[in-house]
Amino acid sequence: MVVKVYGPIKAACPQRVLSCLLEKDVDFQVVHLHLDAGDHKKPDFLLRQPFGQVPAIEDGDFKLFESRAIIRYYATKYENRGPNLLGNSLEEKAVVDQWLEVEAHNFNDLVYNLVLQLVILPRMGKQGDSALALTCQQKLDKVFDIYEQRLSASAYLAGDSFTLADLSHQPGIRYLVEDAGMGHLVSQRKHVNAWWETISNRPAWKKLMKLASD
Amino acid sequence: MKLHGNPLSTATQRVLACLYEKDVEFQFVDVDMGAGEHKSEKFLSLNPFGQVPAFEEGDLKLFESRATTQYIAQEFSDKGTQLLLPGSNKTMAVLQLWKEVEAHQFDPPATKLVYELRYKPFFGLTTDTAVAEENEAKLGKVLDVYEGRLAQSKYLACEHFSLADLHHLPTVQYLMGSSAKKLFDSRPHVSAWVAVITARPSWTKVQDMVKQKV
Repeated sequence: MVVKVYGPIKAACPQRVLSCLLEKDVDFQVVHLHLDAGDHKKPDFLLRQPFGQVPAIEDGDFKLFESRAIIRYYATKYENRGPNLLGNSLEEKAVVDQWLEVEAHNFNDLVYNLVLQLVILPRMGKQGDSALALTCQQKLDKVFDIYEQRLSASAYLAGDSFTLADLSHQPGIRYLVEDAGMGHLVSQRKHVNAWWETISNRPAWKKLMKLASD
Repeated sequence: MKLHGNPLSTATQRVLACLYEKDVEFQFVDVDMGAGEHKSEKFLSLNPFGQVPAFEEGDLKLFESRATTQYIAQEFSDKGTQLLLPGSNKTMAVLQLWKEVEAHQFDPPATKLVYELRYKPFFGLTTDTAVAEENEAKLGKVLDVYEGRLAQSKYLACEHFSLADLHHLPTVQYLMGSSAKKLFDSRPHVSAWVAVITARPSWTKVQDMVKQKV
């Protein structure tokens, strides 16, 4: 049974899900949506995702949305296949959860707004708010300082192995480094830089990048 | 177990509600935010982001309220109220989905409204009516989705009260004491759900702590 993933393969939140599916070697089919044509706001898509956002998945009869709920589901469903993305003990899982929450609440909105102002709006022929972009960048600098401190103590955010907490950052950091000209936020920090080098060179992520460029 | 926080903070209240639902012994350690205690070196060793709450159980240290409630709900799965949907990965995924909805759809506009309509007046600052109106409109659209969901399901994730509902309590309570109350009152299923979840004895205990603080 192939998992259907609704959304553009180049968008950040679908990539979060696809990275996880590739890590777990789960067969999937990307059902492309044209966001500029408003596909995600049309009635039949709203039945899948009432907030009109990508991605949504369909796995046989099972439907789910919210990328971070989807990755938790597949990491649990295929716990014994491929890398352990969750941690072992309840305490280890709690720490993975903690850093997933950090990504969601302390990292994501800053990256989203920065990329919106510097990349997305200009691509649409609109003016980005450079003052807002600067504020986001300054706040993100402070967040990355905390990541640098954390990653000086452990190879990955939640401990010694790659987990969902690291995976969840992949799409956002790619946007920062490759599209928004914010690579220095990563490269100027020794441990953050080493961490990004490692997680962006994972075979699953590299495969996704190839699929997204085709 | 120790919970470090401020009874007025929504994130602290989120964890307090969970601890009371689970009927477990814990020590509450008040963090003097007015004096900047949450930015002290001692507190930063508990939460490097300098945010409340922070949680300790033996050697385990956790921050991020939603990771903390998840841990407590699982660790004490056999005690007090069942806040999870154990049974299958699919039922847990549905719970996760609605927890993500609270975090990503509800919380952003709701928190901005609490800031404009409750926090600012309390500290003698001027409400930005444009920002308040913008976020009331956004929250209204989210609550339309909730209205549809709660017409089909007694609580957000399933037929019983769960973490997905609990996570909303602090922000809902603050908004029900503001002009934004109308957003909830005007939607019958949402209104009924608010009435039921805010009447829970565990939430009354949290409100008693808030009253003592103010």
